[in-house]
Amino acid sequence: MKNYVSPQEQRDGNISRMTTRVDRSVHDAVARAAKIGGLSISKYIEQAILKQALTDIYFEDISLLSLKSDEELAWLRTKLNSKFSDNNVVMQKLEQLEGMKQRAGISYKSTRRKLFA
Amino acid sequence: MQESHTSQLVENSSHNQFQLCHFDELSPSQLKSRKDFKLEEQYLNIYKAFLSILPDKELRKRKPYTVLYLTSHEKIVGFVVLKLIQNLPNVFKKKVGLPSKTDAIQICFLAVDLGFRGQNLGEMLLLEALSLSKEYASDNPECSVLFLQAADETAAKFYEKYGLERPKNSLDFVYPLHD
Repeated sequence: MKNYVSPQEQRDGNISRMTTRVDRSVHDAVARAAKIGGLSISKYIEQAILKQALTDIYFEDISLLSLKSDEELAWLRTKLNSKFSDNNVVMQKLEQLEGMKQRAGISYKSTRRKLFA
Repeated sequence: MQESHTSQLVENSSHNQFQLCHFDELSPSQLKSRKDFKLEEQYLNIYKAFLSILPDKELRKRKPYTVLYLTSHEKIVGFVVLKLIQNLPNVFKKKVGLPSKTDAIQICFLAVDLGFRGQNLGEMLLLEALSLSKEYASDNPECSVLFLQAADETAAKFYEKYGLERPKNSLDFVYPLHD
């Protein structure tokens, strides 16, 4: 069994607090993998657990869903019923974006711009 | 005339201080520079661990995400990670009155190297992420929510400065992507 702190605990504290206790069969499998990877067993385990934990935090855990109080949900309903263009501050900033990028000397390396492509 | 236009383009291109690009467009030395990215102590461990999961082809198949890098010559000076959350859980959609098929975009990591702060690069990365998210939502109408969780109150103040809003006593920012 591998143990690591929950995503919430990780968010609140330092990731180095994670424990690296594993059972024998996992240890043996990891030892073989570590040997191939040229790492010490503890280092390999640490990296494997870290990778899983970080994956949980950034790619599984959706903090938005933890908004639970009536007040928070009411706020969220109102916010999601509004439109993108309703927020004047954001709209003004976005209008200024191309000018800001030009002045800072920022350009795209290629024509590839789309997200998740 | 054509020659003069071309030399003008070359001149503009060499003048450009910064470039925005995706992971597979980074040069070998820019890739290497990821390890030298300078951040405040409290974010450094998370950043280093983050390096180990990005990019991960298997993860990308399961969870679509984009990392947009801001580079200067051979160095990475900033980046923003956006992930697509396909079809939010039904219970949640029901609670807040969202349509049955609703996707969301999360800005899950935005950082500028300590040596390049004070040039509004973080602001431009954030606005670029907002702009690209809006474009994505226009092409994919089921994607109608953008959210991010600030790391702490200091980061939250940064997002508020650019018009993003959050519920009282929360670090979760939410923004509608539809018009």
